Amino acid sequence: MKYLLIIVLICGMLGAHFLYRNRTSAVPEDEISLGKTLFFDPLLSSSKKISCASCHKPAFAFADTSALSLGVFNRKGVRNTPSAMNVNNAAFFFWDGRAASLEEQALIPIANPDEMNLPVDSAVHRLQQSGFYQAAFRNIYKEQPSAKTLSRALAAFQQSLETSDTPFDDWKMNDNQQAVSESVKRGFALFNGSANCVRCHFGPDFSNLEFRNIGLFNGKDLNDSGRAGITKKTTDLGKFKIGPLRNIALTAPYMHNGMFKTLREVIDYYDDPDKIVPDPINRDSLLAKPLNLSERDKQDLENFLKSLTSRSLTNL
Amino acid sequence: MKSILIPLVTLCLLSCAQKEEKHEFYGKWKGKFKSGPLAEARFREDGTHDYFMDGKLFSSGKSSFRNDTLKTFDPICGSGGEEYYATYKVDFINRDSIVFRAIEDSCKPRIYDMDGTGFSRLP
Repeated sequence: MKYLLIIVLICGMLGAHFLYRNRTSAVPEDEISLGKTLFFDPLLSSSKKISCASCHKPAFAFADTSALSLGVFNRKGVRNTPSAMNVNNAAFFFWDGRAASLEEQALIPIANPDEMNLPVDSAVHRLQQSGFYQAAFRNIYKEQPSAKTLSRALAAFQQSLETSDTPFDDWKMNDNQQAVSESVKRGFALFNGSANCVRCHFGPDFSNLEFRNIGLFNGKDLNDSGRAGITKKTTDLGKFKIGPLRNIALTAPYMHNGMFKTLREVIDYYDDPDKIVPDPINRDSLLAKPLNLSERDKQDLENFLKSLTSRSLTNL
Repeated sequence: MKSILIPLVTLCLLSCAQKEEKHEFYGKWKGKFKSGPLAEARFREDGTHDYFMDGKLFSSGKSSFRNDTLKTFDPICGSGGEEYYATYKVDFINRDSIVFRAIEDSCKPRIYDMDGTGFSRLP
């Protein structure tokens, strides 16, 4: 009788644990908190071992440190994981722009066999089976979990990941001349001028609504057709989304395939692309001539890019 | 004769000076662009300007202001590496309120946002 009581107690405790996942944390009361909880929850992957945050790592501006991220069962993705921060001004999502809204974007990695590998219906079913999530979704959306509310919550969390607390912002926004070095100021002048960076990277997040071919497509060893895979237009061959540069110092490696390990490698590439990829197809005419940057120019540009790092991330 | 001429010339000069009232353009201004966002513009006497949207720098360029006319260059509006300066008339509704009127600007996003847009001075 005593043993039976102990077994019943243990079963009860285990049941309660599974019924109320994360019960130690309070039930989220707003979309952003719910989205954050979901973002970090491996429940949304088939193996229950991978969450959004497994590839979008907070310490690295919600990007990954690998050229290609590993999904469930160590399956390798095909493109570099972009930062999930500063996406509010984006018109397209993913390197090839296949999603037109954050909500649409949010569900795609869950279902992608190389990432979280869980059909969205199954993900929703898991949430509906969880007392914790039932309570949270009903509290916030007045309905049980659905694909629509799951995407809304994840999108709301990503929308909250805006940063404008960088040394660069301090310099420009607060007119604080001491916030950045003279090297950063020279780097910004180059970025905004003769280095041509501003022609593609501009606006609040140093991004763009366009897709450009920067020369990393040659149809051979570099054969990711990018935007053309979505539009089926030959003029889009090798074009990729122009991503934001905020927190770029934390998001190495770079480019859609993660082929550049450091910011300096990126700058060296733009300085003379032919030295790295001599046989590009459809490369943008902006990169037709070498920039002929000096060593000091390169260092200044790198320092400027580093000045775009949020203090909230450098203090992690 | 000389004693009459000097006051007359002085009066004439004063009168001319009053007609050409010099507007104070440099400083911080806020307005709402037609494309949506609230913007803050800062025009500096050193010939630079910055536009901010939602607390972030949007564009950093060069400009000069003379006789209520603004010549302005934004790198994102350039083409082929040249510094293209657009021309705007700045209408002063009063000393703290202005409206930009495009005289010549081939940069479509900028003219859409700037032409006819009102700004008010920030402290």
